[in-house]
Amino acid sequence: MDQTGQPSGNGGSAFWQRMQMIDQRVIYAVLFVILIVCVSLPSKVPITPTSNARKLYQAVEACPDDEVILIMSMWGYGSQGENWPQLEALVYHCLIKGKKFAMIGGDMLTVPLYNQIVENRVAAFERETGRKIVYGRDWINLGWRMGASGPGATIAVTYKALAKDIPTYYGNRDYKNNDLSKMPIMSGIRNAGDFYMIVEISYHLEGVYCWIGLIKQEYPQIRVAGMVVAIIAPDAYPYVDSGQLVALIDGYRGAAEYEKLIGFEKEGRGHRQANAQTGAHIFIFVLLVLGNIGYLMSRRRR
Amino acid sequence: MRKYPALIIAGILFASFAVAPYFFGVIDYYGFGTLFAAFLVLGMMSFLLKENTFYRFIEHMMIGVAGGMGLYRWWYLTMRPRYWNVLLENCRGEHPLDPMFFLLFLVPVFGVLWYFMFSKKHLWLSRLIIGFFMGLATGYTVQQELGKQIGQLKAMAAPLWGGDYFPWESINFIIMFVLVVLCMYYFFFTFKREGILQDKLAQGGRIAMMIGFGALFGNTVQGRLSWLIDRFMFLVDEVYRDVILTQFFS
Repeated sequence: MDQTGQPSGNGGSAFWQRMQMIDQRVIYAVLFVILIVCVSLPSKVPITPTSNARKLYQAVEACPDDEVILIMSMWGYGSQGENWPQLEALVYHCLIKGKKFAMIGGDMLTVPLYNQIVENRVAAFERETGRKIVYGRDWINLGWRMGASGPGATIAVTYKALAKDIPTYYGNRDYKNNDLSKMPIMSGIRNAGDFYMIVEISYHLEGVYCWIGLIKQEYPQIRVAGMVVAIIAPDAYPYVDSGQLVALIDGYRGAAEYEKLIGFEKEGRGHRQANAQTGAHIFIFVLLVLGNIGYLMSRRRR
Repeated sequence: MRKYPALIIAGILFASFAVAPYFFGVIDYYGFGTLFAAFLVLGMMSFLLKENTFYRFIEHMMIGVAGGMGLYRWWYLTMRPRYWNVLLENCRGEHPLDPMFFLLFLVPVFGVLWYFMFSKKHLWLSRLIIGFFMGLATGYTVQQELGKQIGQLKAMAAPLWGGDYFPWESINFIIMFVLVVLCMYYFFFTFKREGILQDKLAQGGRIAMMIGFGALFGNTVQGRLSWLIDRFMFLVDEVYRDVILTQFFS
């Protein structure tokens, strides 16, 4: 390199030096094109379900028809790229197998989002199968109350209150202001121990830690599963190995594996991401190789 | 005017592609909202090229919206239904008097204590409430950590081989056990490490941690890309297919 920072020397050397400092705007532009093309194409990437996806699949399958699965939706618009496919796949699985589920929101903004996702999925399911899904009998949305999102201690206080007496915590009202005591799905449900399984869909692990660290001490029988974003998933894997978590769905990949198990590949958002993820990963890999070859070649010429 | 070219160009583009078609009935309200969202997404992405006024405008708009939503959430969803209305109803005698009701009068007192941190003379009053919350947080954290870590210890104390495990699970378990010991050894500073063996053990711990960090970093890249791909799915599915193809060219 010369004093102005430009590659110097003969043509070959300059080329390899240039490979180490590609303009970031060029990289973003190429990535933009790759992602647009990959997202537009139908997904052909083979997905093989791992043991974690199988464990959650088996746990949902084993849920008796008269029991309820609690889905804690502790995510927002920021992480919808990963949490949306996870939630949609789980709801679809519950619907096709006739499992009842209750939803709880982690944030004021999240509740309308996941409510819309579930209502759209329920409507599509009714159209496809002709089966009638009744709100209040087959599923319920309890909504959100202040405190469910916030720093660690706030979440812990909330989860404790939530786990102890759910109807009281929600003022005996659901998201649509219906009386909980008149909802058949809520008969026999008072606290967290009355649910068959709790699935925490989240972009952080505070909720998962509260379930396995705090609430499981009061209700040791509860099964807890996590559907979390990829960034925090490695921190949660030890809890699956120890049996504290029934299963862990890791980012879009976990969602795609789950979609494969329940036959939701065509509509699943996890499968649609697979193409683009593969394209982007190949591009990043090529950049890494180019940069390293450039470094080695320019050092050899020196 | 020369200071804000990006903002002016963005405004003209937005007016041409979203406001005007909506005004003339080419697109419906959903189409207008989707195009508006697309402009915001592209505006945020424009930061990748360089810092610009359009990006700054959208950033400030987001902060403003978040602040407004926070206020709404604080008053309409929490303070009014759970505090103010309860206080009024009890004062009017609409419910049988609950002795716990009088605790509600303490809430503003506790709240005001936070503001004494701005006074040098009465700073100690703010420490009361900070101490209260620190104690609360510590109590919950200790209980939570114990619940988490005892489960981990119990799992680590299981037999390495045999039992109900499949052979592969046993191998997995042995690898995990060895890595746990190596990592713990790396952070064991009570005595001075001497000799090749001790150095190699500590080095093994470092390599184990680096593998863990590598997995973490790989997952981070995958996660960030997922969030980006979601926006591209929005641009292709909702903006291009649902609005541009369906509404503009239908």
